[in-house]
Amino acid sequence: MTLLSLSSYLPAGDLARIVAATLLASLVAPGAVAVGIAGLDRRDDGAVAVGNTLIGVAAATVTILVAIGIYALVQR
Amino acid sequence: MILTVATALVFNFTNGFHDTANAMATTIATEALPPRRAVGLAAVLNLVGAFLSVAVAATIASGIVDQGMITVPVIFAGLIGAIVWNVITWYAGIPSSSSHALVGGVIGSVLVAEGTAGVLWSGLASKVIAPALVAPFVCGLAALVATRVAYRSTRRRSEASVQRGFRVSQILSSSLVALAHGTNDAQKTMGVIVLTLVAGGRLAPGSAVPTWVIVTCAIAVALGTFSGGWRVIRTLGTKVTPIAPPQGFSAETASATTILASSFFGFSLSTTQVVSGGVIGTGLARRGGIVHWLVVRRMVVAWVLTVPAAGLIGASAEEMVAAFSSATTGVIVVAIITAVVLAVVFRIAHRTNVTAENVLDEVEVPTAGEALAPVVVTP
Repeated sequence: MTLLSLSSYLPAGDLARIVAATLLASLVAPGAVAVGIAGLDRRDDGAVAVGNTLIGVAAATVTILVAIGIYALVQR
Repeated sequence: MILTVATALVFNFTNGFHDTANAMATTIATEALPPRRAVGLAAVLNLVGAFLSVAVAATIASGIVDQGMITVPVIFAGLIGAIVWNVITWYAGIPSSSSHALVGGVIGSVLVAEGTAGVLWSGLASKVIAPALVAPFVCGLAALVATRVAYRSTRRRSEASVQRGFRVSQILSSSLVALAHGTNDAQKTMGVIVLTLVAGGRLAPGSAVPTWVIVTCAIAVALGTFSGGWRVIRTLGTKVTPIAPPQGFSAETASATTILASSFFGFSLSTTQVVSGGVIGTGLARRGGIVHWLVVRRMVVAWVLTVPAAGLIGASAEEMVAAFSSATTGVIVVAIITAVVLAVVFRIAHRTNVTAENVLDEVEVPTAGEALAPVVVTP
């Protein structure tokens, strides 16, 4: 009943898209940082090339997420 | 009109210092940045954010009150309601929505000036109440998921690497929240000033936001942010739940995503409620996590009270202004009374001063190894 009342004020489709976007970021962002942390550990263990690659992947993913965020902020 | 514009800038200042916590409370709590540097970064990003967009500057209170009934004294009284409520909740250390305070203040003053016909109740439900019911849960869920992913994906890593990695990343996610706050909240005051100028006949309806309005609003919100609302930072950063760097990162990432996704789809959520939901969500995700529900309950009560309380203060201010034969005299008198009231509150607050130096005095720091076990719920 409450959800039905809410949906008359907040379109359910838009709400679902917002939830989907936040959940996707909640999976990708910490995952990317974890990859970066793994890269730091690998580098400390002497596997410099592998470590740098992992850190690069993590940095690129986070940069893309931030760029999408700023795009959303400016382009609404 | 000059006094109303100045009052709008004071509101923007209080908005800044009240909401510094949104971006930086968890960053300060996890010591990802020292307190002064954190609020300095937030201030700069709020300043930059204010220049990013003015797309919704003209929509403040539209759809909630009848714009045709707005006069300069009504705007002034609404701002007084918002400022006083912001300062009261700051004194109590409660993170409450400055935007909802502004809406409440304006509704209160419109009710006194024009009666119930001046308020669009369905707009209040769709723009304030429904988003307020949804925002903390959406962000809380996202923060809970992010926290679990953060801990699970790093469980084989050394504690030191995990703490360091998430501390650095947290600076980025909280910066995004600060940027979004500057863009969203500075625009609200720009909208108020534009509305004042239009109501006062100094600007044609539909005009672009004047550059001086953008610049002064950006500076006011940045200065407010830099002054640091340490009381609210302490509550959000240390009293709701103990926060470790992976949790701080998760809460801020979830908050930034919720705010940005919702504003992209055209919804204006309260940054405060979103971030609060994120902090609660991340507390619920952690092994042995303690969520202080009494603190949460105080916050929720404040959220429920914000619109009616700011409305009551706004209505009282409007009554007082209207009691004078000249609106200008009324505005000046109410401004003086408000200044005295605020001075008294600040004086009382000074006795139990919370500063950058003692903001973390009561912090509990959990370790990364405490992840993913049942939550302990405390009263």
